[in-house]
Amino acid sequence: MIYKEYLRISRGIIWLSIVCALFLALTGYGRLTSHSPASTIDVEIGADAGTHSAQAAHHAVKHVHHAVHPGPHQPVIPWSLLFAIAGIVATIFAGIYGASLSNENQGHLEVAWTKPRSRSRYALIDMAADYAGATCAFALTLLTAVACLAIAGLVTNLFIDRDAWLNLVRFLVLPLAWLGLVQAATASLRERSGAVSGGLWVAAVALLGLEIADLPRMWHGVVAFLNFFNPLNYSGYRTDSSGHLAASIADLQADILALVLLGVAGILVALVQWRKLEA
Amino acid sequence: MINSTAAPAAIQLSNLTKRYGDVTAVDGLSLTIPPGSIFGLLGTNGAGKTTTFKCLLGLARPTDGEVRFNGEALQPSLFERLSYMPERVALYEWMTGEQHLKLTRLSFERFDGARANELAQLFGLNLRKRIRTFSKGQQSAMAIVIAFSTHPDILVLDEPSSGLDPVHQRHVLDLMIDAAAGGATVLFSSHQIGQVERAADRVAILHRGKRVLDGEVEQLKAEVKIIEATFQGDAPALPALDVNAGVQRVMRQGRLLRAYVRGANNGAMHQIQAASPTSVRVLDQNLEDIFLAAVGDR
Amino acid sequence: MPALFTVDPHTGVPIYLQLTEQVKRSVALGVLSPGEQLPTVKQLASDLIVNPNTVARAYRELERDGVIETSVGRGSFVRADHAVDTAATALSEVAASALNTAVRESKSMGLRRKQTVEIFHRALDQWYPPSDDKE
Repeated sequence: MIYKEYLRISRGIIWLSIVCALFLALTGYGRLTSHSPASTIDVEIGADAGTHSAQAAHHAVKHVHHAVHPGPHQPVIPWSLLFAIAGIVATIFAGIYGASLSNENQGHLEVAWTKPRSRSRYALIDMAADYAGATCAFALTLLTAVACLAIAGLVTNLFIDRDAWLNLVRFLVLPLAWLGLVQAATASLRERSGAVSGGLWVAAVALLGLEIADLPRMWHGVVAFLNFFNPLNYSGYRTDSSGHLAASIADLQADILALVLLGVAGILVALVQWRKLEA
Repeated sequence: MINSTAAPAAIQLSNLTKRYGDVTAVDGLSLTIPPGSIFGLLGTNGAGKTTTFKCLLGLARPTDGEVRFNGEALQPSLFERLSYMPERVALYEWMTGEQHLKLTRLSFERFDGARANELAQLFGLNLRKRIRTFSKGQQSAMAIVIAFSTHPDILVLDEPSSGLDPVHQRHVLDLMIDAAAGGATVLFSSHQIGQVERAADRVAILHRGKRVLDGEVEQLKAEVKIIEATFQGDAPALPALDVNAGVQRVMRQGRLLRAYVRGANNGAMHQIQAASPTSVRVLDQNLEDIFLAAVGDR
Repeated sequence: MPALFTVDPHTGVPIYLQLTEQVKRSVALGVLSPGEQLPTVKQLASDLIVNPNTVARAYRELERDGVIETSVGRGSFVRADHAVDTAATALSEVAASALNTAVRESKSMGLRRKQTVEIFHRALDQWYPPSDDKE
């Protein structure tokens, strides 16, 4: 029932809200105790970002790692960066929520399956709720990031980069792909679904690392094959030397398609397992 | 069992079989549970009661056999009118009692909130607490409150009073009786034969996945008797008794012979008297005696 | 009516027989008078915590034996006509059966007829007041 999913999802969101509130408070504290007159910087940077956005983008990439720090380099921040951060947080939550079918399998099937509702529908609602929860985490993180920038007086540093909209979609479907992966891996587990869900992170990151490592050719092939199913493989945030995001529009669209396919395939695999379970 | 009436059984199991690998948990079980009856399923641990319930409700896939409710196959919509209480508490332990009742309200159209609160009070449950903090008995009671809060037509209760104190066990029996008096069908299992004896009008005894006895409690009591005979010397071996289908078990101890017999006209009495005992008497059996005779080694 | 009847489900005697016997006893002894209403099946089942079908069966037997009558919608009543006689006859049958069992037991324990008669007389002296001897 949706009410149970609501309770389940809101528990995670409440924790995230607390963390977000902490970030806001820290930013506020930093602003109050800061010696630099931030308002002046605001105006200067704002003017710069507004009138020379192409040049600003150029700077943004070079200084992307200290983009959120006010400083003499007048950093500007592409929206895509915020989407990427929100996408990663949402993906972490997709991993947490994504063990939901396995949680039912840990002693609750007798309750879940004796309701006037078909089993497939039950699982689909369950997984839809997981994704809705991850999307909430995305929105909350994004809002907090913008609010932090506003408190720090840096909100005018934000600019809409060329790939912003495609990246918004891409980092919204990344959690879906991750959800599919986690559900497919855990749906039939009666225990340790949390450990498996966490282990997938380690595996996914390790596989990305191995792809660029110097491996024998055959192993490289194996890694490349496995990365084919690795959602993180489709969520790179790369820039080239000129400061533009390296990915072409077509690449981004292909990434989105791959992530959606991974998500849908994972959910279908999970569904098949769910229907085969016995209490 | 021949069913002369046209009304379909509330629950009908036909040749239900469930194998887990090499282990046969339920072995060709057929049961007919008439509407409005309280049907007690008895059996030792591992006799297959819980597996039977799981197969019955589609929670486990039967290897073979068929299940029908009022003549129809199991469908999700049936659960609107059927309550199941599993042997092990399956509630969401992270929810409060109130939250779990709300979940029930949103899942079942027939949920009756006033009834649920009344039952929770009867069992002394604090619904504001999380189910995790409930004792084992309180968790069982919570499951009972939920099971009876939707006014079900069919109740399947696996060990409904396990972990409950005697007063609350009484309440559970009372609820079952009340439901049956209102026309509901109750199928339950219990280790406490006294409860089954009181509440059930029909009983089946399972042993190693097979049905070894099935019938009306009152009739079984009237039918199954012990013929006790004493002899001058050691009780003689009576081959005729061993092949008599109406004789469940024969026990010999010194001068004493006890035959557990079913049915009045099976000739056991004549077979025993033919051996000229010094005395013969017929003893009544309660359900516990009947149970032990049925599951005892033969 | 609290605890008018009691049953012991744990004996070998079927509960419906225990119930019919108790109703007959109550009628024969005048605890239940002719025309008096009996509790409903549902209520009695709840009070005694026994299966309602068992109570219904007891009522059917009592009806068949002519001790009570049931009219749909109104309930069950002790019959106004011969209920007391019927019940008394039925009870004497129960008593005869109990005595019969006792004598059989006595014999199965190897007691002689004379010994059994002696025991029987002692029991009579214990339970029947001396004034009854004159009858």
